[in-house]
Amino acid sequence: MPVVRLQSVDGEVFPVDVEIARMSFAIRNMLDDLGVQDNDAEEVIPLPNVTGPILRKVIEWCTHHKDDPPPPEEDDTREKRTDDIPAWDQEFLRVDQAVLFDIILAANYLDIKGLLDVTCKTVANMIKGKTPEEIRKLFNIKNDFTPAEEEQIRKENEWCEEK
Amino acid sequence: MAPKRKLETMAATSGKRIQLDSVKDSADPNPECSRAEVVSLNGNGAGGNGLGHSWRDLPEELQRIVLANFPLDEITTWQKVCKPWQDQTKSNSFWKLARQYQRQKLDCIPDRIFQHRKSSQLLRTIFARNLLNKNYALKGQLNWDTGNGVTYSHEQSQMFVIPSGSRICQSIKLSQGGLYPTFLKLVGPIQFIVKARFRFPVGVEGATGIAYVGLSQIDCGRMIRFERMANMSTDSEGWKNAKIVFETDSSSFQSASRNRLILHIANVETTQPSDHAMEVADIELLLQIIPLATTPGKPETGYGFD
Repeated sequence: MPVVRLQSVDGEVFPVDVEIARMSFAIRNMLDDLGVQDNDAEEVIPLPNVTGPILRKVIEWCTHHKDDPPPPEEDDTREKRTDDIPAWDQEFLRVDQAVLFDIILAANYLDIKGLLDVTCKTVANMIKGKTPEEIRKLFNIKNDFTPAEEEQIRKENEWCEEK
Repeated sequence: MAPKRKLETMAATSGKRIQLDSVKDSADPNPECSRAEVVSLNGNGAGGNGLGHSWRDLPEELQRIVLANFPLDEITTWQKVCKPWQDQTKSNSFWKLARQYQRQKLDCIPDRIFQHRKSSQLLRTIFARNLLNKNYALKGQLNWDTGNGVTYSHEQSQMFVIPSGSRICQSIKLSQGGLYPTFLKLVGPIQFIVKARFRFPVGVEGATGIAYVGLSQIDCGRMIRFERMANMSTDSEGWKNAKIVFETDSSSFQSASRNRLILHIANVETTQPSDHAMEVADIELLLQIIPLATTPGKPETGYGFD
């Protein structure tokens, strides 16, 4: 199997099967645009926005999902998506919140749709059943509502504000 | 082999989904919450470099994607976290994005809702509103009719007591909840769901009692199904749900001012002791769109989504 070498921002180099690397549309486009062939095994692709530990996680995810069917097109609104997170992914994403956000950023940068989806769902699941104050604490978000605005929200929840 | 320098350039400027540099915005009114730190793809910034990022480090577009995955049935809660989150729920683009990510939840919403110029307003009406005038009784500010002189003196804002043999009700004008005939025609068949928490103080030996909650309708469309609400006995506790379902069509919704629902809550048939009061808390009247697959007994007139 031909490989490409992915280099993280901290200089770590990861040899990766081309087919796995091409799950990243960013890398795929790079390879296609530059005419890099599968037998260019020594090619090193620098990824200046991803650290070694995060890139290792991304590669692990891609390797596990390499045989998955291709993700639907973004504008394919008829496509059924599941709201469930596969058990393997749940376990894989049982990481610190900071690492989770790093993976989201990396998935976005590398344009790996499946990984972005599952990480976003994981963040969404973190807020389930929590109060606004608990969510603020979880994500270190400041309550920027004024007392008057909070009162307005309370009223909105009772009655329609958009007449 | 591709020129190394060119590869480096492409890698540094990749990131097809979101151009992170485009989120730079010094005019951010809510820097604590809404806006990501300035993120660069050229390697000097924070974009996925494993420095331990938080919510605020996500570019706005990524925040939007994450929010689009948030549970819609908890939107009344999470929209209170901060202004930008609430603002998101008021944007049409948020709901279109949510539809991409939460089809299981939003499949039952007709296309015409999403295509409507006020789609966010309509969808918030569905997902983010308690239709009760007051979901609790405030001292001196009754919104419930009792008919038997019951007064509420509880300071606890979310809970009140209904004495044995008493019944309270509230008349709900649908138009005051944003449910104008034009909107109801747009969404098709809908459900009203009442959620409330009841409790008889337990531990009274020999006491029995029944509580019920009900909805009745006045001029609010042709009813296609009605489920009488949950009865409960004195030793039970917990959420009780009930549903009323009615068809909305152009002929049955002609007057916004007259369309009403009446919500009843009663504490009846309590035996001993005779003053076996019932506690009620957290009452919500919610609107839901009926998923087509679960709609019972399609009527002759037809009410499927088109």
